[in-house]
Amino acid sequence: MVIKDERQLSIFAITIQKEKLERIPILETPPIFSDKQPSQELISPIEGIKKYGPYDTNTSDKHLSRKFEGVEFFVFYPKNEDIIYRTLSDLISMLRDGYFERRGAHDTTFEGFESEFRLKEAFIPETNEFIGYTPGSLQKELESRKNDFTLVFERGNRPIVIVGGTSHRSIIKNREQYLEAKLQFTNLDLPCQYASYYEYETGGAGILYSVGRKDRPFGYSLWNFALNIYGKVGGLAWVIRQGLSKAARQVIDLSIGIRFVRSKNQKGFIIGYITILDRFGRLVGVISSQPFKAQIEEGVAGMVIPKEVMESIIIEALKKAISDVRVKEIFTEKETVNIAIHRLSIFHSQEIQGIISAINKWHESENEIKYALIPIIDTPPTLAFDKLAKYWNTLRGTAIKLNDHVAMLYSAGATSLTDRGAFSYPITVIAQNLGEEKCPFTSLEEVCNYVYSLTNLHWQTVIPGSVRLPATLEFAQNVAHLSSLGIMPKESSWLWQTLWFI
Amino acid sequence: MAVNEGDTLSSIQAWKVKMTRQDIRPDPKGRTLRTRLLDKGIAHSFYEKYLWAMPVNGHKVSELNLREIISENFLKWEKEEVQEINNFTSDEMWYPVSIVLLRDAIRYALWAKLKNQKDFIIRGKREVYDKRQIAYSGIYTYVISGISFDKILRIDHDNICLCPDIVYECYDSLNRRVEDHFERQKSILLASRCASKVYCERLESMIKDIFPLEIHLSNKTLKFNSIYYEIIKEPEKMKQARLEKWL
Repeated sequence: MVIKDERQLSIFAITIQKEKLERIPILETPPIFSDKQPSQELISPIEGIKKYGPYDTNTSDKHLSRKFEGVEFFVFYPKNEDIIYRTLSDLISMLRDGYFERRGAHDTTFEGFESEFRLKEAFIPETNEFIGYTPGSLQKELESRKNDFTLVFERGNRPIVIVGGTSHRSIIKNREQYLEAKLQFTNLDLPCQYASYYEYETGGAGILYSVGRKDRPFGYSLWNFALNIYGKVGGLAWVIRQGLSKAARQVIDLSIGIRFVRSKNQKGFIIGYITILDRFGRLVGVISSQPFKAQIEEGVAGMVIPKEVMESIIIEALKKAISDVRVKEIFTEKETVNIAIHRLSIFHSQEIQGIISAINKWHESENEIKYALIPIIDTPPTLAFDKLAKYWNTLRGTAIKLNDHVAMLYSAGATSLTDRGAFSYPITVIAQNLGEEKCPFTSLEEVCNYVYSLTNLHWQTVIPGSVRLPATLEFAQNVAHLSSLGIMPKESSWLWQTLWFI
Repeated sequence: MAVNEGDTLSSIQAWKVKMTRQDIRPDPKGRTLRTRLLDKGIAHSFYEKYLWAMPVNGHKVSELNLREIISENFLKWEKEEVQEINNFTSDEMWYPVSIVLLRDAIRYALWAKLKNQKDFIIRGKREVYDKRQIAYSGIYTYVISGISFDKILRIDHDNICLCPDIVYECYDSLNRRVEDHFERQKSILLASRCASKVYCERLESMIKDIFPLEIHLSNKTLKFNSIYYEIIKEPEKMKQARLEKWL
């Protein structure tokens, strides 16, 4: 079970200053699909991929360019589940041959995985090549196929496993199917995309259920499915261009997100998971802490991470970053490296001491580090309504200052003044050490812009405005969740270069 | 965001009694101390070996018999005094004492205001459900909406605001709370998906039965009249790249 660690009470840390209430201008950070794309071109992920192709096919940066030529699919289905087999067959054929039906006015087309993602080849099996397995015995089924997976790499391609099943993330029923698939394929260093079919008395859920619903648009679901696959094989569909700090054209070189999960083995113990993203939002690596006893301090709401634990995980995160070839250059070229650390709660003084101690120790032998402490609170203390908009929906990208260090930020939500969609909740952004010498940001506006740009970096959906938290915390949450279920690639696995956890 | 328009939170009188939770007298009916004291209109919090308490039923500390209340509910105590709190919204007091007392005060005020109105259900976390507000009605389930007053923020130097939020509860056709997670989540998701304008209309329609709300906190009376606080627009700062083209 994942501890959200919202430290719900942390909203008490916010004191609204009425005279400070004002709107903060936020710049849109358009996704970039090509180095040649005009910098002001605002283009949706689908339009961008269709027009330019994914970013990693259009860049001259050797660290960002695509490292594989094609993708080879392996499709698994549980035996004796005819409905899964049939719907999976429809889904896979759409991935291969495209989807051109227009199921309603708000649908979109998909020209096939190979074509849309500009791959040299995408081997997508025919229905009779699907692999049936008996739930509970997947490992046995895979024994004889290990060599097939290895050969994929020898051909310069990347493998992806699609598993159909009756499990769904929102229900407990049949969850063992999902967990078995994730566990067995991750153990074999194979990225796995689960396709679920779940039917209940009055409806259903999951992409396989949606395939058959001819009265509902399916194009966006298919795009999301394909985008997830692309990320899971290590593709980089888009990046964002950071221009976050007006001062000296600075960027945040590393963004670090921290989330927690209860230890399965030691009752009362917590494990922290830390994701490290580079300035393009690519995952540099994941660090997990040693299990530690969560401290509850009188007078402080929620859990406090012991100083030594915080110090240790920050040093490990920096070591991980500098060991990555893509990031190493930054550390060798720059005298001062800027990092931002996020968590879903305010940083306790003990935690700050741990961070400072880690950074001081690092500075003794390596670069100077400037650090920003940015708690994000995903339970909004208050809401904003835009009475100038037709349905009062607040535009995505709206930020409102609550005091000198705190703003509410609509990272998801309406994309136009006439958007009639369901309203969304803002997140609260706290610039905890803003104004201090070591903070790389000079204003709350810069912090909000930075956090907002990170919410564009999730690669989980082609629909803008549907992910509220920055990628650091989204990714750390997913990794922590899977880890709590015992699903984690080996330290040396190539999966760490991919979005295996989304 | 409902800003308190009544008294500010300075110079609040409270009882401070040296004792700990271990000194609580067990209740033969099994009620919690909070329930027992709130029945008498008393809010309380334990902090640093002291009980902090104050009346929230409109009385002042001098008007109630503290010794009687203490002897009914505690096995022993050392000394009691009346203390004037001048740092109610400071970090030191806010987390362990003030917020706890305020929560009790809100709970009591909601109960006092709505106790005779049969259309409302008051739940633990300062949630008020309006049985008439059916937000979604499926074949086997229906969802009613309510308001949560759980979020309390400090505003300016010595004031607070409530941040009311719509909450939902799902029932089946026999008026039993739906426990099945999937069914419950599905219905509440459908009920809660609405544009901001509809959200505001729902909130306004429910809050009109609750506001104006007076919350008594010892010698102070807080008043909440409106849920909106208008942000003054600054046209030159409103420029933002739009995303109309995205979809």
